[in-house]
Amino acid sequence: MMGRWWRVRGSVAAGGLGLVALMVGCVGSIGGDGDGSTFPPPDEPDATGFSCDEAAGPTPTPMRRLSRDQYIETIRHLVGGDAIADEIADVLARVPPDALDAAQGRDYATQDQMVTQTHADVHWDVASAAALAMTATGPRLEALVGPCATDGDDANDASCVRDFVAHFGRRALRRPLSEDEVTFYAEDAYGDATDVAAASFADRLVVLLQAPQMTFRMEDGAPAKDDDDPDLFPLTAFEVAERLAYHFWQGPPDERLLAAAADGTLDREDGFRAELDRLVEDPRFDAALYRLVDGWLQLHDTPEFEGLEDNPQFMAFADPIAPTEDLGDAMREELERYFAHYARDGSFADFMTSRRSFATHETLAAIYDVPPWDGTGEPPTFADPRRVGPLSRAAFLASASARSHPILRGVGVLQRVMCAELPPPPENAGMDAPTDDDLVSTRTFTENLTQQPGACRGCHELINPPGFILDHFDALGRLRDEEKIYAADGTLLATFPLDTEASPRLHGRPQTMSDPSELSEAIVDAGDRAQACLARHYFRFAYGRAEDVDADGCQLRDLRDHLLEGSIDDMMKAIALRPEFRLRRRPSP
Amino acid sequence: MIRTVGRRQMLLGSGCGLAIPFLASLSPRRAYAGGGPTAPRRFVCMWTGHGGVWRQNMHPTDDAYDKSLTIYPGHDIRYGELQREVADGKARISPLLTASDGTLTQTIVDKMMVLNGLDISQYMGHHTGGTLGNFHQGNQGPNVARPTIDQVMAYSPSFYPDLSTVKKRSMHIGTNKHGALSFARSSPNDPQSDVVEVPVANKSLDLFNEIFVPPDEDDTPARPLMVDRVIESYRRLTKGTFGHASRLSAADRQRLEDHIERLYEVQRRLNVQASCDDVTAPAEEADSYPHGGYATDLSGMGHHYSLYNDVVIAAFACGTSRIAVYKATEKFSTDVAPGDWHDLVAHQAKDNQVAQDTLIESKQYFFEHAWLDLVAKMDAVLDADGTTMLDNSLAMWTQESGNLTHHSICIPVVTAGSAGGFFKTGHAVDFRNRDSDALIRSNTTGESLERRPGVLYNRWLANLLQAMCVPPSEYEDAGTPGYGDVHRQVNGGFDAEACWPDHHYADASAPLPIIT
Repeated sequence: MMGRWWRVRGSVAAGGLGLVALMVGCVGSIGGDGDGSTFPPPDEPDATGFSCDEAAGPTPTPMRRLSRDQYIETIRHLVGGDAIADEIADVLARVPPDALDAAQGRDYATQDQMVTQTHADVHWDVASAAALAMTATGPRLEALVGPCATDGDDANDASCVRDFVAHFGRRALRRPLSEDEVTFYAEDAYGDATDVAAASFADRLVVLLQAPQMTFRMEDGAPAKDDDDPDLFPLTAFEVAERLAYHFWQGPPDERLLAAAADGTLDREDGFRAELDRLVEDPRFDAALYRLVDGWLQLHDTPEFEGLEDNPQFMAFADPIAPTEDLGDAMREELERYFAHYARDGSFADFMTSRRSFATHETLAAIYDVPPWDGTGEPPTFADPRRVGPLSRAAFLASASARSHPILRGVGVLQRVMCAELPPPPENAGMDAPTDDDLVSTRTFTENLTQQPGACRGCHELINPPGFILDHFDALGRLRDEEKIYAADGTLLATFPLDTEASPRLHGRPQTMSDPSELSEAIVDAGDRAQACLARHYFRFAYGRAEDVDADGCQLRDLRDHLLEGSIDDMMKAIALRPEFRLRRRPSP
Repeated sequence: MIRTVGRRQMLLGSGCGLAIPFLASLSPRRAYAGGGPTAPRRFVCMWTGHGGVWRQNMHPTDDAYDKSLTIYPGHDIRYGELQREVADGKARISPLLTASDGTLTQTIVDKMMVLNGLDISQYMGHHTGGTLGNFHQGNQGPNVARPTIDQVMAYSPSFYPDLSTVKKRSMHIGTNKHGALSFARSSPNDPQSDVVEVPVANKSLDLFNEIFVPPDEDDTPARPLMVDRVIESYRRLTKGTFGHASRLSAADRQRLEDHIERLYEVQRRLNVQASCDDVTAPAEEADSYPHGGYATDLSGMGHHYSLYNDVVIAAFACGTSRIAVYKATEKFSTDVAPGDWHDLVAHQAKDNQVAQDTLIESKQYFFEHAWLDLVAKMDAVLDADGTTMLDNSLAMWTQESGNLTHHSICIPVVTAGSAGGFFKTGHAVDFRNRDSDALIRSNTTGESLERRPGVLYNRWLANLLQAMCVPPSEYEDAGTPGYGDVHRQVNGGFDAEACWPDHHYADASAPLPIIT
């Protein structure tokens, strides 16, 4: 009975998704006294578990639905201007969020391929609202269709309609329409091929904006490359353009990218690389960078501080900081900007050991004890050498709480940064904990909670040490030299000296340390584990599915090696330069 | 498998299968809900997280259970009439089930049930989906994913024999963060399709607009034909008419076919004919009040739910929806910072009186200002047959865990409404086998001693489905009684078979004793 979750999760991952390469062998059985020595396996030649067969080609890729962000960006692009986009903002806001579930390995919106009735309902409403807004006035209709829609000349009405469908359809479906398709959307879908009334164009828009090729990414490919494998085929240039845009911009291809697909530029290696460089240098690349770091470090869970001003315990703890309701968002955005900065110009090690602040929010800057960054110049440098890397940022550390949480922080380091898979807490987690009536430090409290014989010692001998080292930071992410405990009414109950010395087991034997900067450096130097972890996350984000360490091993190894040897943007571009990016293997027909 | 239909099911069927138009002219007073001689059933489930409320705080005192019944050899259950004590303007069933005596009236109490001893017979840990029957969702997840019972109802021809007034089959309120409460088939008519989370409403006014039909609205949809055209574009693609999509996989093709089904539902919705003549549009947006897991403004949270409740009442009154599911993540407390809640309240509440008191205060607030607010409003609306909307409904509140957080044994259930007479209300029932030591060790103390095996939670779910007119033939999997893919397993070395012998599983679709 004991250890049941272990086996279940292990078998699911290994058999289906290949999620577990760094599975934590905390204990053979939950509740035992295992020593955790199986994490990480010290003698395994390739502990990341990536295996590579370059001849294997890509793994099967099903048809993809646009994520919420991608769909909204596409609609905003198609409606032709911020004014119309703003008019339909309320209905766009109703597009269902993509379902994230870290426990199931679903960290990115691109991984959620679920389609619900709500999607269909809201897509209808969006298409209707957009179509009405786009044709609401004569100038808008003319901007959309051209002067032929309003010139009163019956002779050009048929060509007017067909030209509109061909032109708008190319943008909406991200490829040229066949003659049959133009006929369908111009005539069959409306019934009168020469009706140039605003309402008729609105109707055609309603249909085009809900076309399957609009909502889903169809990759029908070019003729098969290898007759022996009819399910493996190269993508067309337009499909490659679509992959590039939705990956690097989280939005649709622009006119230049479509033109590069049309004139053969994307088919040439130099043309492809030039477009890839353009995509990565474009500000729209930030959208991809932000979403990647959100999923990797789980920034969706940044706490909210609204209303905490009514909680005397929290306010006494936070003093003199007065958290504002936008502070949680500011914490997330700082880490997004921070990652984007180094992703555009820096290595993984630079990112993990940076001492720069990207906090533009005054309260967050005060938490960091630096001036707010103006967003353009040289970011301020932290004075205290303990604040190093992403693990020292408020978005990683903070909780809407008056006490720090070493367990959650330790789990964050292991699960998010090192990709260790931890079993869930057992049924009795926390149930036999001592009360804090007799006032102990957070470390003592945590040790009493987790390190009693017969409890959860095995896993927590791995989880707790990184958390204890990060106890240099309080629950707002401020550096501290002592820990203060407050009562519910805000009275200071006790002050404890910090005890942050611990022995995290990141690579091989445990290393004893007490400084967060040592922890960050140890992570960078922990073989290739952290780099392999980010490679895994990037793969999930890019392809919208969990990685398979065998079938996708070549790509994962390639991405990891770029992180070990080059810059983060090299790694990000590398995925597009792999042959798999321009191929598709169809799942079982 | 051919199933025989018992007498009781036949009787219930006669009340469920009628398609009743909205008859506003039959409404002599107050607002009138959709319904005719036999009013339609409605289902509400509210969920709150953590659990961990001690039995003595959640349920009536021992002396309220003055009767007993042997349901299996060696398994006696206890029950009694629900009573309220009134003092200082407060009516009290238990420390938690306490509210203003003007709201928790004897009339309401008579329509309530307070149930203990409903067990999910496997460890769930933190979960949301298990509450309504998707036991796959949660920490452990070895089970087969299933739609939740609200979605079984939503797509059941027995629950919705006539969809002509239904604009939204089910309403979903709260958040799906850290797990949804409601799950559906991606293609409701395809039992092989994926099980997906049902999105929640973005805002209360958006939800209102989805279920509301203005009195002067021209019911003719603006562009009904265009849905046909969108559907046709999908059909042509799947058939390869455009010369594309020749490399669709079977799964891709199925996804497109599923989407066609959804478009038919859009088309159906656009053609709904309904009337909301007696309904006034709410003036405020619920989400403008504090809500969510980090909210700390008590009255704001209460107002948030009250405004959503108004929308649900409106939908029920218009007949444009008959199902509402709420996932409430608010803590309803200002004493403990939200980030500390799970550690310092939910965990510690097992044997720490201060934490338990905080928990009671929190859940009591939800009971009074969210759940009872809805129940009281439902009881103030008459159906066309003179009964109240509440009488024809089942409004349930339950929690993530039982009397100990993380544990899925002894899930507390509080209900109001008899679902058109299906349930015999006014009872407190303790289904636990208090003579069983199957979950007790020699060193077990405190609240853990209250953990005794009862009856299966998936039997309760099956009863709910039947109460909503959904027969076993529609919800059972290959004739397996009960609802949901639940295992028999208890962590900690306990004997699960001793807790729930085979007869519990064999009877998992049978009407529960005392309350039916």
